[in-house]
Amino acid sequence: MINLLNLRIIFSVAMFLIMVNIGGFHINHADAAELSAEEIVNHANYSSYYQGKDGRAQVKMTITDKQNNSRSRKMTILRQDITDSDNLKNNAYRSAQQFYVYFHRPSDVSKMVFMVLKYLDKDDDRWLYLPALDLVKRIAASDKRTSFIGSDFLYEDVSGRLLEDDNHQLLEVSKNYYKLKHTPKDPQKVEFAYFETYIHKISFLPIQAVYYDDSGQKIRTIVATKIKTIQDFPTVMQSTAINHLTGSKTVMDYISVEYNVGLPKNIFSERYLRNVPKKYLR
Amino acid sequence: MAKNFKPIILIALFLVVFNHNYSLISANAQEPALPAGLSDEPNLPAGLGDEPALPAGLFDDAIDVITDKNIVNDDMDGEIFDGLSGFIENRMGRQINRSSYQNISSLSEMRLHLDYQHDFQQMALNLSGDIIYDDQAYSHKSNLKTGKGLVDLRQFNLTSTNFDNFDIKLGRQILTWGTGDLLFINDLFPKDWNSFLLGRDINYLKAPSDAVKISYYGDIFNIDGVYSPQFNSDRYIDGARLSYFSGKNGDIVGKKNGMVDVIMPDRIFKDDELALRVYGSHGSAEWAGYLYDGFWKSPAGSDVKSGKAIFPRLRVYGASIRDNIFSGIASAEIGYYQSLDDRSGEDSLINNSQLRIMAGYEREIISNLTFGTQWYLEANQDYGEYLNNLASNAKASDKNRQMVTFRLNYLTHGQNVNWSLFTFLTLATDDYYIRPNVSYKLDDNWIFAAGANIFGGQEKHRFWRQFKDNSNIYFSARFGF
Repeated sequence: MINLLNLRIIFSVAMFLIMVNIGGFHINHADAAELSAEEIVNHANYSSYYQGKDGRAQVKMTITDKQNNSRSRKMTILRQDITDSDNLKNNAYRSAQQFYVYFHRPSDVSKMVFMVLKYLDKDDDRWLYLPALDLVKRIAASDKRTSFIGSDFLYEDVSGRLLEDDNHQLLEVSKNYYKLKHTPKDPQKVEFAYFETYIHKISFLPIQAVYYDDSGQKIRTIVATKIKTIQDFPTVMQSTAINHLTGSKTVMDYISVEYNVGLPKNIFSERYLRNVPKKYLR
Repeated sequence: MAKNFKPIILIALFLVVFNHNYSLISANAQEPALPAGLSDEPNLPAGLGDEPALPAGLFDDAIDVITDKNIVNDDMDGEIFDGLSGFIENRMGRQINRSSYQNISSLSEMRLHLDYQHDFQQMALNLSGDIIYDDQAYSHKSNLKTGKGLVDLRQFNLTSTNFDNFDIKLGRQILTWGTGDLLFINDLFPKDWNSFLLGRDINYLKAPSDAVKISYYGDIFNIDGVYSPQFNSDRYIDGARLSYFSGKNGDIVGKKNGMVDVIMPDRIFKDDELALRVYGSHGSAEWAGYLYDGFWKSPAGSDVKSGKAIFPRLRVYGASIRDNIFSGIASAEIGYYQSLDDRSGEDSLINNSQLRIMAGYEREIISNLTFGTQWYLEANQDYGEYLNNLASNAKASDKNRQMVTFRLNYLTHGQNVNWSLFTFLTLATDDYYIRPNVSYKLDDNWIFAAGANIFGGQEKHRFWRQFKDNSNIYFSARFGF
């Protein structure tokens, strides 16, 4: 009897502890239970590419190859979202976007302009303005997984990858991060087998992304190394991409970032390709 | 009873350890350290159970907020002084086939290019030009109109963007419009064919115009109007640097026996030019209509009395369309060239009126490899009249000229090496022009390039074949700043 009673006590205490433990886990990571992988990536997508209705950034890129030769690029990037909304609900923030990239340096690309109209459901429209020829060249939408202006960042890193292109899986939740794994729906279209990200739980900025090949070898890593809050928007101010296959590394420094600049819509037109809108670039 | 607690403690301990282990696993070694800027962030408040919306005040104490006032843009351009950039370039070229008409050295020049921009309130001054020491030039005396000699002033203009719907650009400027790739129908701004065929940088294909350009921007369409009070001719093939087929001589001629002597229309406000473009877009399609009134840009006839080459009057009506199709760029352009000094086509010494049509497509085939192709037709409109009036000993030009072009562009070595191949191929007459080029960006300053201009075909009076003696290879080294 005593033994039996003891067993019952032991059992119930154990059950209690298990429940408390589970419950404790539950309480500490309540957000994890409530946010799905899709919600996390959606928010991260917003934080990375859609904050404010427009934005201006002055960017310096330093590309250093394995032999330690370095090259730099300086540019001003203007962005405007077609939708004004910053609302995450029902993906209201997601819309087509316009980009205007004015190159300052190096001298061979100085004063050139690259303009992109990015759509969610079809190929980008792209133009390149070559000032020495006064030529507005319409250019074909390139493979989005190719290098952005010779750096270790790809076009998609700069302009954003469609969330629908991957399956997202929440692997872990730690004190600071959501750790996710993203597997491409069409592996033929990309150079990686999957990638894993650490998304900061409060700012929803992706702090690290590592791309792996089929055998689980790292092929590329991107790390956000400086964050600043600008006009209430947490913003990556320095980001580094490392190509593990070539040993090349690119550091992208944001010299300045500003949101809700009030860019006129017509900045993204042939008029301002030929006549640079200096007011918004300096 | 005390005895009975032991297993409970044991289980509790087990659970604590298990839990601890779990957190060890989750604090994965691969997890990145918090970057600067997030490190001062407070721990999540213990009771925070709801969705973690962005707490606005979270960073307030730790981080500056950038405003207009503290935007850093020092040294953004990295220019020597604000607004100035340029390059120094040495370019050497050599003929492949030894031609008796020209020097074997096709290019031997040192060039300093300067580009300067100065912004006033709503105005900008653009100044760009080259100082050239050209070992192959027979005179270093500058001629700002032809660009020959020591100084080639390429841009010297004032641009006003003062108005909501208008821009004005006044002065010497480079102008380009239309949809072709190295083919031009409605772009009747001057070209420098010598630079193009000798192997100078592609930027020198365009020669400057002295003009005023007024642009209107509307909701539905935009208008560009370019007025030049004095005719801006092409920098045409005149025999000085490139040999060509002379109809008069019935043979290839060069600087020793066939310098082109021209009568240049140069009366200010009389021999003027007007170019108009109305353009807009519909979805992703871009359309344009064009009108040009002026002169054939290169010699297109000869004066009966003097025998000199002339630039007959020309009017062109045209249109173009360009759109994104199947992940590539498709374009089509048409132009009707009305030869105003030979409307009927009876004057065999002046170019016939022509219909010019082209269609092109360009897309990236694999990463960093772009392929483009174009079809081009030039159809003489009064060919019968032309034949009827042609001198019996003269070589007749063809009724139609059809051409296809191919472009391959391949970027390798981190996009620092650009391999390019452009080919013009005239259908029916089998003459061709091949332009291979490779350029290498050694670093942010140095660019090396090498290439060739190769012309060939059967009959020497054909469009590209006539330049066969000028086939050349070239090399350049450029230091940009």
